[in-house]
Amino acid sequence: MIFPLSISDISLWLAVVSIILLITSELLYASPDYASHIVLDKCLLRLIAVGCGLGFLVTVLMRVVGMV
Amino acid sequence: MSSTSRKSNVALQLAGVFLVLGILLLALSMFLEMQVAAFIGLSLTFWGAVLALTRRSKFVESELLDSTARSAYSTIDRMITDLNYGAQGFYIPAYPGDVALPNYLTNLREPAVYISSSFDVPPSIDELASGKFISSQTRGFFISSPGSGILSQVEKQLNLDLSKVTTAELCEILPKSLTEYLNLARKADLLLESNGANFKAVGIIYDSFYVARSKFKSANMLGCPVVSAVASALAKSSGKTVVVKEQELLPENSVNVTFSFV
Repeated sequence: MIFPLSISDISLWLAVVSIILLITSELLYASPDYASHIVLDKCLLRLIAVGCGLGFLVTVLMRVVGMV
Repeated sequence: MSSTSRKSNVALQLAGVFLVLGILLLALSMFLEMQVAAFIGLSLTFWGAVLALTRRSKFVESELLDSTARSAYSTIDRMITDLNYGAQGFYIPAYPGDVALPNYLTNLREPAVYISSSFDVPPSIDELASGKFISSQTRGFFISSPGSGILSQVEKQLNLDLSKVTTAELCEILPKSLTEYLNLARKADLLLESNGANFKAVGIIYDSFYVARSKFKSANMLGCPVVSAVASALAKSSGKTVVVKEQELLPENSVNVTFSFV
């Protein structure tokens, strides 16, 4: 029983997820008129987006270290 | 309120379904060593967790906020009528939070309003500091600013003491805080004028305070809690006494308020 995703797969997945979340959070901050109708914690969403972005950077660093 | 809680429950149920499906698919992908199932499982688990975490836990209808604030204004109306000291509210600048003050002066940190017919004879600092209600030296009385709660939330949200910012900076940060962080209005603008400021808010939540049917004398004089918070912030930032000069309700729940410095 092994986990079928490699570091590269997780890196790609984190990149896609962080881009989606960062764009969503930017759109929510840019249009408070529309965002006021959405019951969502914008700060936490941004925090998760940044966390995913950092996670992606960590996986990239791991791959770079692996190459060296 | 029921529609909000229904939406919230649907989101929670959806998050639960996502999490369960995601975990099952992840487990299955490990047994069958399927990459596609692992991707889908990981995504479902992640989005389930995001949905569950980013729901706002506490939400109230704006009508409820209106109704809870009304009793305070009704009480101020009674005081004005009973004491008959005149009907003009002067927002006294509050002291900065980090300035060391002796215990008997700590009341000066609270945003207060002095209600009197004129400000020709300013109220005594001693009376304000001692937490007095009726001024014995001048014809007037002190109340806490109805917007003091909102003002403290703004300062907490910005992690900033508003006495440390200039009025020009306040015009930049306060509308943003009221609309983006506290959702008290859809759009807000604060502009400095020669001897005062102009505040315009679209879609303000305390709009019922300006409807003729439920208009309070005190709301006319002090503004709704949001306007009161803006007046207190202006007083705190400029160090000058602020008066609500004019207020008008425009279409789309918009309010246009003119403040002047005394």
